[in-house]
Amino acid sequence: MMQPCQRSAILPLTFVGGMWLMLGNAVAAPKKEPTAPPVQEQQAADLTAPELLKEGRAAFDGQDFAKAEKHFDQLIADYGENAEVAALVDECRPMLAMCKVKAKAFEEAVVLIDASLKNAKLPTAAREELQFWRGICLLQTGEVMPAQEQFGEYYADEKHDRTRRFEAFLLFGTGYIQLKDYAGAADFFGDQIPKLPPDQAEVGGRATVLLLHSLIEAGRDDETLSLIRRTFPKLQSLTQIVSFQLLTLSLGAQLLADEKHYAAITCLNRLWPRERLLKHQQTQLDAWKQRRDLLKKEGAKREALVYQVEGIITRIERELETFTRIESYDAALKLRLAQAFMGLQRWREAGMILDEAVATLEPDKTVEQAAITAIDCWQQTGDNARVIAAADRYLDIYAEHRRGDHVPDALFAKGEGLRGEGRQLEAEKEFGDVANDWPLLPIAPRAMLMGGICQMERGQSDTALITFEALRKRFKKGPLHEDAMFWEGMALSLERRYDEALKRLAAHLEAYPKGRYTPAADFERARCHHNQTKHTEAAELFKEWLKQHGGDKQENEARLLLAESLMASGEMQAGLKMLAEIPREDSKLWEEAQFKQGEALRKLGDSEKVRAHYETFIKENPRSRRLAEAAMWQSRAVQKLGQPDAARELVWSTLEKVGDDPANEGVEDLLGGLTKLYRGPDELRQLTTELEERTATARKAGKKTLALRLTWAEANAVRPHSALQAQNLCCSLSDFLDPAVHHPRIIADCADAWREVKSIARAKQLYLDLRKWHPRAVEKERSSYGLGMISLAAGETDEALQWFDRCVAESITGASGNDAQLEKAALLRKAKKPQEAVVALEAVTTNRLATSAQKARALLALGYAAMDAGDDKRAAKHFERCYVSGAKWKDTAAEAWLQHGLVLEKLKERAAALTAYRALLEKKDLASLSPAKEARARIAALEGGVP
Amino acid sequence: MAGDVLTLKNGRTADCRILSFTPATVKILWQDKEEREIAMTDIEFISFAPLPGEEAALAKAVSAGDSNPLMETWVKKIPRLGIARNNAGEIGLTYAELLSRNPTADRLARALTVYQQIESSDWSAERRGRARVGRMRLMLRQGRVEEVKPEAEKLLKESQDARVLIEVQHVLAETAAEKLRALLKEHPRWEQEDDVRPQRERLFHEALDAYLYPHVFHGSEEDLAARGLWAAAQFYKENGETGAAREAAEDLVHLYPSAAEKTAAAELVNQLPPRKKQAGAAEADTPAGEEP
Repeated sequence: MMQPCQRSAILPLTFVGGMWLMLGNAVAAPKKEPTAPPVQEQQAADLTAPELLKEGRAAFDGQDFAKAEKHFDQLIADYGENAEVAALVDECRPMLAMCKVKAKAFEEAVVLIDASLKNAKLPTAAREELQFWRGICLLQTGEVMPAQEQFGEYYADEKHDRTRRFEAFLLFGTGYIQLKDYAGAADFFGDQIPKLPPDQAEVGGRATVLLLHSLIEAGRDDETLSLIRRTFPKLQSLTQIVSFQLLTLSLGAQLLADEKHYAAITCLNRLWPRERLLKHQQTQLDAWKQRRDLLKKEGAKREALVYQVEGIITRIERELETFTRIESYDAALKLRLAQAFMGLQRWREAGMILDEAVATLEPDKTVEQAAITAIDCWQQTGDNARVIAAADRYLDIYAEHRRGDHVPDALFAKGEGLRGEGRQLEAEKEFGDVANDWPLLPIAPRAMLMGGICQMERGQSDTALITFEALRKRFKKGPLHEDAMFWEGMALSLERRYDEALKRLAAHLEAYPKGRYTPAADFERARCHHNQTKHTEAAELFKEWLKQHGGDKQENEARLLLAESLMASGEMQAGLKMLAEIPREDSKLWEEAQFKQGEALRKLGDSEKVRAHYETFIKENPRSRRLAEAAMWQSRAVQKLGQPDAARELVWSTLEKVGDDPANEGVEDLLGGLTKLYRGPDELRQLTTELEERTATARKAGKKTLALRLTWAEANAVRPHSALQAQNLCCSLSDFLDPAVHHPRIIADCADAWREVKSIARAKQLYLDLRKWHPRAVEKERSSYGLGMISLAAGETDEALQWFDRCVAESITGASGNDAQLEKAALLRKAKKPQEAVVALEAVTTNRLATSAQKARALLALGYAAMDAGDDKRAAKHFERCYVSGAKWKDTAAEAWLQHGLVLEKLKERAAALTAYRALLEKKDLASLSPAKEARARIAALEGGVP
Repeated sequence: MAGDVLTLKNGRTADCRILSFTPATVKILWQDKEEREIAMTDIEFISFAPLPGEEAALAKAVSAGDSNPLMETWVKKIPRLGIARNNAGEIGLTYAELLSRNPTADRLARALTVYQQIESSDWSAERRGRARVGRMRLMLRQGRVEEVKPEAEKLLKESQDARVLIEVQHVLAETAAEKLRALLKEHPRWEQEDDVRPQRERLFHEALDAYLYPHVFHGSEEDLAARGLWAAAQFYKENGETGAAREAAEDLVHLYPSAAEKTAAAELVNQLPPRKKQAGAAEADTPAGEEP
């Protein structure tokens, strides 16, 4: 089965140290306390042969091998040739051989063993022992092949001690390793391990470690990784678990250095952390010791097993001792694994490992580097929250007294993370800290620049300007001087300080004529003129820009603005020509140019050309999202050409083409413009009939979106004359409505209609669907208001307040937002929070988007609020302002007149009160309203007569 | 052949047949002739021979994804749950997992009972932990998302066992993924909602970190590492990150070539286009050993 290696070499002891020690222990153990020397020790030379044997044996048993060796050597020297004491010599020889082993005199030991083995009377146990040790000695003397032969013979004899037999098996394989024949060792162990009997799991484990070592040394990576994969799931069954893992770590490190990242990960992500290894080995050690103690109690018959267990214990102890001496094992492992993941650009995995390393390892320079690398990894994943967290962790550990080398980098990264999360104000603070606290570092000007950019992003271009100017002054010759100058110009432009912007940008261009911002700065200068409506200058600059920077990313935008400037300067044809130069490939700007051309033609009053232009556009761009818009302009042109029927037909045909496609933008606008094509009651009737018929046809054809849009258009058409019919039509929209795809305006109209008819559940669902599918639609504020009104009707005032607040926050058009403020104020008044109510109402009166009706209602409510607060004079003023500025809102104005009179009465201003009541009654449109009735009663009460 | 092997605390072993056992003693048939009673306190562990047909039943159940073949084996093994190193709990965990794959109310209830039995009686703390996690996963399926997270986090703090920790992380990942799905159902246009976007991001990253936990920190638990990596790949794909999905699948193929998910992962790699590599990135090395 086992063939010895054919090569010979000096046997290094290092690798088999573990094994050798076990055997050494077996010889030495059990250790006894040193025996005290006899009081009168005789000199060996004076002793007889039996005395020499006796003394030698006593020393041997007492493990004083040097003394035993001396006596036995003496015995052989004096009596070796004496046949009378040959038996004594034969008896001492094996012991002397073992003494020689202990003294590492292996060659002498081999001679003695060979001589002993020739003794036919040698007891079987001793013979077996010596045969085994002969192999060891041969190994030690470099006689590897004979040693392997010896171990092979020993192993083959099944009568031999089972434990030793498998030690011999291991030593046989070790022979290859001693000779650096790693391939041979790998083949041997690879072949033999699967054949080991089940009770030799421990030997199997040791053999596996040897196999791993051999494979690594042989450079057989495929097999090595396969062994690692196979072994790790059952690693706990290995006693030399530390050796296995250290070998794996070392291989992983090598593979990483060779940039074999997957292979490195295969090794490294299986390794246990130090704590787990130590804990596991300590548990194993305790279990083996417990086992040994139990065996010992069973007496001498279990001695062999005790020896075996002690060998295992020694190996584990040695491993533990070696392992505990290794510093920063965890750091080495984790950082290498992270590096391997980074090699594959698996930033998340690397970040997770580094985060864990930073959280668990003692802080030192390596861990600090890991902490800063973790931030980089999270930046790569785009997970800004993790960037911030990793930066905070770094700063928690290393920012104290600014001792960390990378504190400014961490602060900068945190700033970038915060900026990425849209938290510009907080980001600005971090950038500011870096710039102020580390002014001498290269990162300082960058931080300052980023701070300014954050300010611009927050809409604070005036503050940003100050920052950029400060940056330029502080770092006069810094690399970001150029950036600062450019952004100063941009900030001035955003501030609409165009003349200053022009100068600053000109200065920038003078300082950096071939800088990286040159095209952008030139462009911005032209745009400054354009924004100032200095179109002649703008046109000149844009023309020059196109000459200088043709091919720049802003080229088509420049063409578009140049065209605008040319047309605004009266050069319509030149403008049109420029628009035509914008290529189709830039689809968005090209479409914009087409509509600008249409606009120019409209301004030129050439309706036929407008018609033809949009006809071409529609024909050539049947999939354009602006098709409906084009159709609208085309129909208007046709109408101007005096062909109303043709104009209408154009709209209808466009609707047939694109009206059922929910994604086609502009259809709603097209429908909104329909009423302009049907003037007067008769034509309006014609329109509604047409809409009804087309709706029925669309329904039949299953064109739900078209049917929906036509019904909605009909509702809009009839609303000015019949609010109820419009409401009914809007309610019927829900038959076709799919909130996920249909226009939010239609959803809001439908929801409002259902709310008005008190079908609350349906209305609520529609409002919620609007929010769900159109989170950025302007109609979102209508949904908040509607939901607030629903809550209000249900008596859920807190919820209503929340919705009204949300509506105010979301308000863009002002309509719903101001209504929400009014409802909110009413609730706050009821909740006895007059001051908060006043704040809400004043927000309406000062809002430029508020309608006069809303302002009138706010003033009326402000009057009531002042009365609540007992400030009747202020109340009188509010009521007066209300009916003066909101006179056309009859109900509100009438109520304000009456309340004004009543409050004047309270102020004992009887005459003024009477004037107010009479003024109310004098207004014919108000005299029939209920406040007028009360005014009459008050006049009667004050004067006792008929008003 | 006796089949069962009894290992005493003193290291001795005995091939025998286990006749019966109580909490205090085990009755064995020694050398097919002699009945002996051995105190439980003297026993280190018992290696039971497989029950007749056990291996076939297990193979059939696992390959077919069907719990039925395992039911009888599990019922017979229940009394052994408390005896060290026997596989009753492992059979139970497989049985419960298979039961819950086809989740009718009755099957879920039975799976829950199995997990509870293992949780209360199994000799292995690791299996008790896994059973607890299995129970939590069932709760998750019942939509009890809010109840699961605190219990999983508690277990995460209590347990030291790698497999239990991995299972808990997997439950946390599924909890986050489930919450994310619910969030996206309510907010299908989350990209446009400033107040929803951070929630989406948090849940997305939370789920991924937990799915990847075994792959990153416990690669030696190959089956669970591969399961987590595969779940991450699918999660990436579900959330439109096809490049990352492909990479996760690619990693699985390279790093866990023996995993059950390998074939599916290889198919995914073929289906999805690669993400554009960043400059300076090293090419993936050819895996040593098993090629995909």
